[in-house]
Amino acid sequence: MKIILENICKTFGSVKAVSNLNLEIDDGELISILGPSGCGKSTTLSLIAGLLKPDNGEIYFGDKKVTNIEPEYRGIGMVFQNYALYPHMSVLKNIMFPLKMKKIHKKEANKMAIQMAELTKIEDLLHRKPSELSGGQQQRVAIARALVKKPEILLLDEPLSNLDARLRIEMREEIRRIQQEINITTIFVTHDQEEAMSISDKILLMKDGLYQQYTTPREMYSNPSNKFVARFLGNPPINFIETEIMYNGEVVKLHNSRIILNLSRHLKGKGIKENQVTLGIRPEDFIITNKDEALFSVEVIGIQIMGKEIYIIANIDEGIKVTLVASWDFNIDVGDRLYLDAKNIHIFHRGDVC
Amino acid sequence: MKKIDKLRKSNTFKGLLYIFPATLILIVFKIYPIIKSFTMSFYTDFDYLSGEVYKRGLDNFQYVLRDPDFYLALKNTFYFVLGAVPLSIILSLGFALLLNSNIKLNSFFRSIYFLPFVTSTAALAIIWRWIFNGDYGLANYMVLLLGGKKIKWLTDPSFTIPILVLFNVWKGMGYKIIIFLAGLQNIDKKYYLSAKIDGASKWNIFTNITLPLLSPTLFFVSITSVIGAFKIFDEVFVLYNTGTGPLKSGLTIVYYIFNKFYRHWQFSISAAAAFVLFIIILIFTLIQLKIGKTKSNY
Repeated sequence: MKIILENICKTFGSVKAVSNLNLEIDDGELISILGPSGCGKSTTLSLIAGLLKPDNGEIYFGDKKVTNIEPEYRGIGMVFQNYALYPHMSVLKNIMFPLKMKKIHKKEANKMAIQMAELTKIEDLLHRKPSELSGGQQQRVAIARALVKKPEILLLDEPLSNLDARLRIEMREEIRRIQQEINITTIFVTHDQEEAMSISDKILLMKDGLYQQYTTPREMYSNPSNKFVARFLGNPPINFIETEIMYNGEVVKLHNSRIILNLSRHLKGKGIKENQVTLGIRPEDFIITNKDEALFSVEVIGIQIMGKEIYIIANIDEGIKVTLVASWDFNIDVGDRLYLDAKNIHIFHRGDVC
Repeated sequence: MKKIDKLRKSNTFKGLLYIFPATLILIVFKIYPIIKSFTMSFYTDFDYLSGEVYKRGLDNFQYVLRDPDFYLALKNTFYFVLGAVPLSIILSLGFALLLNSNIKLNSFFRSIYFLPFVTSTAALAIIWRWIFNGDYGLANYMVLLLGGKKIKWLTDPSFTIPILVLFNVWKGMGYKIIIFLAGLQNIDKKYYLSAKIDGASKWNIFTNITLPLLSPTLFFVSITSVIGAFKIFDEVFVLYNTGTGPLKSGLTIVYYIFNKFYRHWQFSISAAAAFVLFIIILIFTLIQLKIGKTKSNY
């Protein structure tokens, strides 16, 4: 089912939780609402679920306006952060609960619940109580319960944040598999950029209740619309270098420094129109090269070994630090001088906050 | 190994030392009297002052179980328990649900409901005696206002148990409301949201989510209420001016025990009656525990 949000606003007291949000989600897509805590992502989900009513704006499911429809009539399934499995009911009864409320005959309900349990691979656990299940199993039960009444939209509120790292990766793949198997429009709220990027068709990034960018993970990573988006995606985060334009929109001087960079090769004819810009370079976009091909040189001031790669923290000039990711092949020590080039440079307004 | 054993022994000794004062008080004022009154119920011939017992037997139980007054007390008490316990649970649960739904002046109402519980029964009984006074009481004033005839609330035996039930329910409600509120606030709000999305109506949510999740609290309240109700005495004593109400309609088991002990000086018979009451309460509590175990296991 297609979902459209039109100029949605929601305030709590004096706090604008969501302001003027417009969003279109296509049928069968899995989208993530991503952002730091307090950005309005859970509020947005509650608005779509109908647990909250917007102060302003309209919500459409398909062609139907649902803005003032109660949650139980919206045809949604929802998984809460701590799953909210009813502790006094067995797994089977939990899954059957929505059907019982719909007054579906017990035999039929039983059959449908078992079908769902098979989809979520919990058919062996049907007679256990939630307290006898692991976190991942509870998660599966919660998904089965949300899906059993065949909703057209599945809402997941930070469903993985209670799981440990390994299980999280397993469960996010499971969620993707189940979502694609029944081809249900799914909205997934998370604060974890890696989670969002790995399973979503599209990501909506929010900050302080404001829309930042809504696009595919690949596009968002390679073409962030502002400094906040650029910084939120990627680990270690993108490096920002403040500069002033010197000449022709291609030669820049680093802010508070005498170092001058010639970006003519990197900008490929796209001259910078403004006087002051921030350069954004992702740590993995740095290339360690020789003196002749380098954009600038740095002095290594710290090394972190991460396992498959190493993070190098280096100074371009006094007070201007960058982080880069390098492989183990390089034998680098603190105090070494490195010559760096960049594969890709993002240009942002200096005024942007992040 | 030996060292550990030694350490454990000294720790046990230390632990015993800590609980000794409380244990001493309990033994002297609770456990010894319980045992003493139990053994006393078998004394058939004894000297109260010297404590010398000449003969033991089951005569006291025989007497109690043949005494029509005891059966009257049993009947009255059962009526009272049957009326007071369900009514007080339903009413206090209802008020707790109201207070839990975040109505305005929440804490004000909570204090109001709690007031009767912390006020002395004697003071409350005086007010109730005034309310139900046949000539100038508030109850009859209302009855007259509604066009009825004056009712002899406190002198008509058929009103005794209902009035006692009302009095007891009203008095204990504040305490039960607080307990229920604590239980209700322990239920995660997410269950309600989830159930709402699953299409449950308010009544469905109450019967399928709230009640089962509240069942531990419910069983606690029902067990303590039943025990408390079986022990009813002071309400009768003060409401009916140290009597048992018109035509003994307010004679309860504890009142019977009291009468035998203080008024008739039949100590061993009162001990036997107390033992019978103990057995009755024990049976009811065991039944409730059994039900509680099967109904609330999660």
